[in-house]
Amino acid sequence: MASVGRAIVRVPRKVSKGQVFKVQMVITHPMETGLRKDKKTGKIIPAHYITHIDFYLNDQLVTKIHSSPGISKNPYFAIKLKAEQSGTLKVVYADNKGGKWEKSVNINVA
Amino acid sequence: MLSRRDLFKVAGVGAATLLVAPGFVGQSFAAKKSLDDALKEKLGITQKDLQASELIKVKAPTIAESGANVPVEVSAKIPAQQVEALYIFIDKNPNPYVAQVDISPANGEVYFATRVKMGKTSPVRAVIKMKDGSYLSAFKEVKVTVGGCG
Amino acid sequence: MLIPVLSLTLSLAFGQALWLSDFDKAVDVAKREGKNLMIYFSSDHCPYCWQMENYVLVDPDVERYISDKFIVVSVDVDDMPESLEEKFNVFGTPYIVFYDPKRGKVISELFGSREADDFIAILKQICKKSNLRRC
Repeated sequence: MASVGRAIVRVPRKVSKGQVFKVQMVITHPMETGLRKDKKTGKIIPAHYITHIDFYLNDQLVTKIHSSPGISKNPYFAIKLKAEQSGTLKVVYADNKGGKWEKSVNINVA
Repeated sequence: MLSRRDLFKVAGVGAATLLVAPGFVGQSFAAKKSLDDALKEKLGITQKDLQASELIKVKAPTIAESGANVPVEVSAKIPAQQVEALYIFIDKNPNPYVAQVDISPANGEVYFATRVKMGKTSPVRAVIKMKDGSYLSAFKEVKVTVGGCG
Repeated sequence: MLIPVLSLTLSLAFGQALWLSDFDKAVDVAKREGKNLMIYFSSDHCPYCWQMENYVLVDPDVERYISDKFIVVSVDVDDMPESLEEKFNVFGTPYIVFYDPKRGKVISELFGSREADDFIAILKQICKKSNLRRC
C-alpha cells in the first residue's frame, strides 16, 4: 500500500455557534495484527497499525483516540465537537512503525 | 446426492457442513486474554467494578457476516465534563481491548464511532470512565456467523 | 536420519505450523515427518476465509495442534494449479482437505468456517480417523 497513512477528514461545511457536530475520518492503513500469516510463504505478517489519533482545535488538544489492531483495516473514526469559534481542526496520527501524518480542515462557525 | 449447483446454493446459506464432527474440547486458552485480563491491564479493574448503565447506547449490527468490519457507535447521555474516557472492548476477542478515547468538554457530547474486528460472536462493550472514579458500561451482542462462499 | 529431525525441529521450534504452497513438496515433508496434510483452499474475497485466517488458524491452541499433526498447504483458489483442481473438487471456500500422504488418500473434507474450539474438535476426530499413531 503505497498510500498508507492517507486520510480523509470530513466536517460539516458550516456549523452554528454552540452546535455539536460530527468529525469523520478514514485512514488508508493495513491494521495488521501481527498474528496473521502470509498465505503464500506461511510467514507471520508483522504488526502494523495506527496507535493514536490526536484532534487539535485551534492548537488545543480536544480528543485523543488510542487505537489498536482490533480496529478494522482502513480505519474509520468519528467523534463529536462543539462549535465555539471558526478555526482549524488539525488531526495528527501515527502508527507503530514510526509513520506519522497530519491533516487539517477548516471549521466555519456562522 | 447433491449436485454441484445445489452445493453452491447451500453454500450461500452460510452454514453448510460436509463434515460435522461435534466433539468435546477441554483446552485452556492460556495465550488469550479474558475480558477481566483486559480490564485489569487497561483500567486496573474487573467486571465486578462495571455498573450497567442505560445512559449508554451501543449501536452495532445484530448479525455480522464477517468479523472483518463491524460498525460500532457509542453515545451516552452523560455530560462530557463528567467523563474522563470511553473504552471499547470485545469480550470474546483474543485481545478484548479495542480502543480508548479521551473525552474533553470540547466534545460537547460523549460520542465515538468506529469499525472493529471480531473473532466470533461476542458482546461489543462500551465502558465509560467517570471523573468521580466510577465505571459505567453497556453492551450489544453481535453474532458473527460461520459459513462459506460458493 | 538427520533430515527428518531437522525439519521437525524447524516446524516445532516456533510453535507454529509449517505452511507450504507447493503440494508435492508438502507431501514429501509430511511423509518424512509422519504427519498428514491439511490443504487449505481459500479466496481473498471470502469473508469466512478472513475469519479462519485471522482468528481460527492462528488461535494458539489450534496452531499448536496443527503444528504437531499436520503440514499445511495453502492454496488460493483464484490462482490454483491445474493438477490440484483435477485432484480435488473444491466448490467453495474456505475448503479444507485432510490428506494422508503415504496412502495418497483423502481422509476427510471440510467446507465452511468454524470457531476455534469446534475446529480443534474436528482436527482431533480427523487425526483419529487417520493412521497416525499419536492422536
